[in-house]
Amino acid sequence: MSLKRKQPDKKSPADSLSDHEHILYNLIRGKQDIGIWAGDMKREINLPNNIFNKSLKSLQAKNLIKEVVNIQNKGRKHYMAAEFEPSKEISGGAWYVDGKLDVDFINIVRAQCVRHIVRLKVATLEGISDALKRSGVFREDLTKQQIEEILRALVLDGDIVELKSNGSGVFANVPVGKVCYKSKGGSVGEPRIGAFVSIPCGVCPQIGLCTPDGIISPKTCEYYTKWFDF
Amino acid sequence: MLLVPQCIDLLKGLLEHGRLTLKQMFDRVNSAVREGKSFVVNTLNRKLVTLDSVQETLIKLVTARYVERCPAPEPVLAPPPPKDNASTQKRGAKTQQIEEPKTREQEVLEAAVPVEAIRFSVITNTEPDVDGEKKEIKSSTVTAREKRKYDALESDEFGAAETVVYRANFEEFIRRLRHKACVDSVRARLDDGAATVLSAMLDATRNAETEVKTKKSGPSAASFGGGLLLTFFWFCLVGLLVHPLLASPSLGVLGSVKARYVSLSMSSIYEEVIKNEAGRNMTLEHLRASLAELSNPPVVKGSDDSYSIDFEKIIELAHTDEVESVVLKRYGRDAYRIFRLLSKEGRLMETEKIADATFVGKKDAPKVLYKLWKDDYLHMEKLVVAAARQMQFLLWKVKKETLWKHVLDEMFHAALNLRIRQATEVDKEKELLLLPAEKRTGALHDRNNRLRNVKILIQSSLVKLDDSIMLFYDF
Ligand code: SF4
Repeated sequence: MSLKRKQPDKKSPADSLSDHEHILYNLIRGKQDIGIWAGDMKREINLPNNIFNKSLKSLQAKNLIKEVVNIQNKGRKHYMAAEFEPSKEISGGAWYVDGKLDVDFINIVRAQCVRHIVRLKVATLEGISDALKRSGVFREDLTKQQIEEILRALVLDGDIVELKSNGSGVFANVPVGKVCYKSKGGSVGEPRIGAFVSIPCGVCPQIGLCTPDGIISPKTCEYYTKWFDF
Repeated sequence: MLLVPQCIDLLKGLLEHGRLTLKQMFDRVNSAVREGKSFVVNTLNRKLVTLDSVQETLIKLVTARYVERCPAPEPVLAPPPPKDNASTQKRGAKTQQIEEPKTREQEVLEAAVPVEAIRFSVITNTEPDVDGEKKEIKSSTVTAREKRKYDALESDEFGAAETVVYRANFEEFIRRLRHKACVDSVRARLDDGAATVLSAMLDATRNAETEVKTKKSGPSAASFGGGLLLTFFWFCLVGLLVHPLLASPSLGVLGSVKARYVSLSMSSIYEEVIKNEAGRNMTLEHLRASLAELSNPPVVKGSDDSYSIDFEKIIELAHTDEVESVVLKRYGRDAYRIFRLLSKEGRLMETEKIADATFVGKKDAPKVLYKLWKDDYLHMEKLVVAAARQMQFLLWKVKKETLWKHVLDEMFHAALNLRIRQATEVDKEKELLLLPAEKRTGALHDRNNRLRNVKILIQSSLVKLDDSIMLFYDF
């Protein structure tokens, strides 16, 4: 596969590579946006350890390759040619930074989406996307797909509900059958507390091991003792 | 409303004794009054209750279908049809496909149930008329044909008024409790307006709904601890009887009559809505909005000004709510989101896809999934793909049928635990309980109070838990 690739630019630092560096560089570049783990490289090109390490360092120094975090295995050293951005499988996707879920950013996007839905009462994906663009909160516009992913998660959390427009009332401006999002109102995110979970056994992780006369037993259960601490 | 405490007294007797004649009910109520254990004591100042008033109460309860006449002890069954091939063929393949042949046991049970009008009628004791007739049948809807059937029955099976036995009609209780659970569930999911509309629709269609549940009938939960069920019904019936439905037990049937889906027009729903205290100020516009809310998800199906309640959908949503709340409290918010995704999708999904859709870290998602799977909340399948390198994927799914059973098992287990713990707590204090009340002072007084609070907490939790058990077992 590496043979079929276009050779790098004439003036690029790749010109001044040693044979070993060349082999290594071609291998890494051939893996495109997936990159390759150092261990796999060693196996594939079979160079002595010291030469391998030296070549790898040199390629990095010349900014031809970079080390990236592989979400699948963060402890492993993973390399990729400098011109590629890690694929979703390696980086974890748009919501990941350095192999970690970018929770702060996600929370901001979530809060912004909810804010616009509450303001608009009922909103379509397009409506929310436009509102976010106009608000200028984000330096780079989010794609519709990204917003939709956030909306779906908000629905799963019970913060908003997904509905189909019936064309009347609050849906008057939305074509019939179009998917809309609506804020859940007062009880955001808090589902009804069922009867079962309001007693210790309902939330007990040990229920499967609990028997009347066993080591874990209702007769001696500490959860109950706490529950009776009026 | 004055009769409500009397209704409670009567029903209490029926629940405790299973079945009673009018005479037995009369005696029981009066001995309760004498012992000061009656609900009517306060209202009637310990005055003994007359037979007339017991009869009147019984008629109220029977008309509201909370009480019924017991089935015939020895029903007369038609002999089984001869098994000759010719006649089976003549009946045609069509009938055979639809109807499964009934077992002898089913036939006996069916034959034992009196016809509707007899089942819900009261034989009253009256003074002899001039023409010497002593007994009188009281029922709102007895037709001439049924009267004839009753007379026939009367002559052989039921005998005089003293021998007619009555029992609590569990079917009706379960039906009403199911309605109540539906309204509560809609109120929690949507709002009071939607709950008022649903409740009005249920009131309007109550008489047309003939089945408690297609596949189940009768107090099946009774198999689990009779005491628990009794306590539960006891609380429920107090709740139900205080409801003013006894005052208007025979609402007209509107729309077309089907076993479970009765259609109503917008105007008939509106008529019913404004009859209620809660719906008195509701406008037609508000009703329209509530009906739209109820159709998303479709717990009320509507087309061409005809609306019907989808009980199965409401119950299914209530099941889901209950299980989701367990997942949230027991396993946390990430698990809750993952569980909701899988339950909504209803199909196998791969670990990474689940992590992406739920914003759960790719390292954490497998851990959460594994925990849910280990506790039987999820189903898992392995998929091995033999490409350049052999890869293994894990696929996950919520299997509702098995999970609901599992949750129900856990609920029964929890109810048992509550009762065991109550017994343990009482046992720990048995010496204290032997002391006369006036000697329980100081620290003993505190211990006594603690025990009382523990008992109250356990008892009220049992009642609430039984609500949920019914939701999964009976509805
Ligand atoms: S009795 Fe205690 S240990 Fe047993 S299931 Fe209930 S809470 Fe858990």
